[in-house]
Amino acid sequence: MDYSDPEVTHMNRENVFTTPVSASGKKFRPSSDNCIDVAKDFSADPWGRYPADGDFNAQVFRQELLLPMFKKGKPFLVDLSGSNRYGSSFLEEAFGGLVRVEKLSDDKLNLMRVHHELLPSIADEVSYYIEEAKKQRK
Amino acid sequence: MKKWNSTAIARQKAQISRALACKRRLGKRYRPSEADPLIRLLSLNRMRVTFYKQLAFEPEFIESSLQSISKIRSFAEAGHKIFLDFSLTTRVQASAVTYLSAEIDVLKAIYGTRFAYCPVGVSAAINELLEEVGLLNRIKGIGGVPPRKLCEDLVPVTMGVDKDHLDVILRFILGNALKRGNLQSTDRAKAENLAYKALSEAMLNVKQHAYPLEQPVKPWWVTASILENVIYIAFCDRGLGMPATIPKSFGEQILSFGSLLNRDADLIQAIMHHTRSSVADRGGRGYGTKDIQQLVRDPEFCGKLTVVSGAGFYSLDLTEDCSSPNETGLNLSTQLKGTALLWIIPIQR
Repeated sequence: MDYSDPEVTHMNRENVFTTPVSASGKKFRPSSDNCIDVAKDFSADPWGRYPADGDFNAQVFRQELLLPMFKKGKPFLVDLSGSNRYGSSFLEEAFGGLVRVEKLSDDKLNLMRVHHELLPSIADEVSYYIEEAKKQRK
Repeated sequence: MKKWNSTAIARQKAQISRALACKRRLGKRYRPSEADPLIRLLSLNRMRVTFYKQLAFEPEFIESSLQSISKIRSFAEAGHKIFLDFSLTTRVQASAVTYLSAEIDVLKAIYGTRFAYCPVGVSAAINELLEEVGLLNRIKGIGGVPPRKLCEDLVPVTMGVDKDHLDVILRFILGNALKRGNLQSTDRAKAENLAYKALSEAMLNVKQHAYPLEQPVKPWWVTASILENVIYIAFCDRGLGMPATIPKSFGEQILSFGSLLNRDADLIQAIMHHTRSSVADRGGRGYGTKDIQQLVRDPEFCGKLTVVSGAGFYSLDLTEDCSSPNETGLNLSTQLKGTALLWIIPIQR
């Protein structure tokens, strides 16, 4: 197989990165019933979209912390304040992925509130990714 | 038959070296293939690569800089020892020296190339900079060893994978920005966020897109420095290059066949404008390139970003007027293998 061909490489990448998340070996649990403190409960240094990118990736965060909170059906807060280190890949995959991959309805999504003490722009960015994913869904 | 001892060989080598220097001064090109076999045996394992005037990835100097670096590659492929000549160099720019360091690391690893450097004739400032940036240790073959003279205004060129060393670079940026820029806590948080986004997305791009998928180690190189209240962060990889990772239409494939029409600068610009993406058929997100630009686009910083990838040069300059970015694109005749990024961020306006 000629990997110098971008199209071929691209197809293979897609297969790898859409592989379902396997157990990362680490278990993450929210410190309270109605709040996820990302820095404490997950990592102050989250990075990447996929398990191939590292332990603290967005897919693991979405599947092991966000989805269980939605399943409870109660309003909850995602507190991003403990860190200033969030890249767009992590935020998009974690939160945009709720619409794009997990297909959550607007009613479900309304249960979640996202907050950053010093940088409200990060919470705005999360809303943007969710809205963009909704547009693509339509 | 004349018996050669080591002194005689050394004398002969010195003679040849003087002869070659003389030829160079006279403007005659030295052709290894036409050389006497004895001369080849004794000396031609060593080829000289000269860096003229400015080793910089800027429109005026990028072609000559890339030509010198590609000469290194072709000499290394032919199994030569390479003498790096900086005697005519008056300026070295972060992005170009980072890429040169990457090239040296890779050629040493692939071909076991040996490099030589002589400080005689090199300006003291250039010599000091090459030492501080870690290039001389690379030439000596002790690239992993920190430079003898560590400088608080500079992080030496470091190779990494994943997000190694990201902390070191961030601490350097924030430490210097705090010392000189009087940042409040909110500004500090913002600076940390923007710098983290730019660098971590660049590293993630390398991991996900820059190299062929089957390549086990996907390295990048980074350096940071501060000069007269301006922070310079240079980052590069030696992968496929941005233009090559974009899926192309049939027409574009025909035009790009055999480099009939080089449009790499346009392709880089399209990536920066989010109209083209290597993940277009998976939702066309392209948010990573947005993060890479945000550090210079933010009204607090208003900096400059230059991207060299494949045979294209692109720069986004907000230093003159923050509200109207000045974009420059240039299609190059010499290819850069991979991508080189340079962020220039003024911390006091």
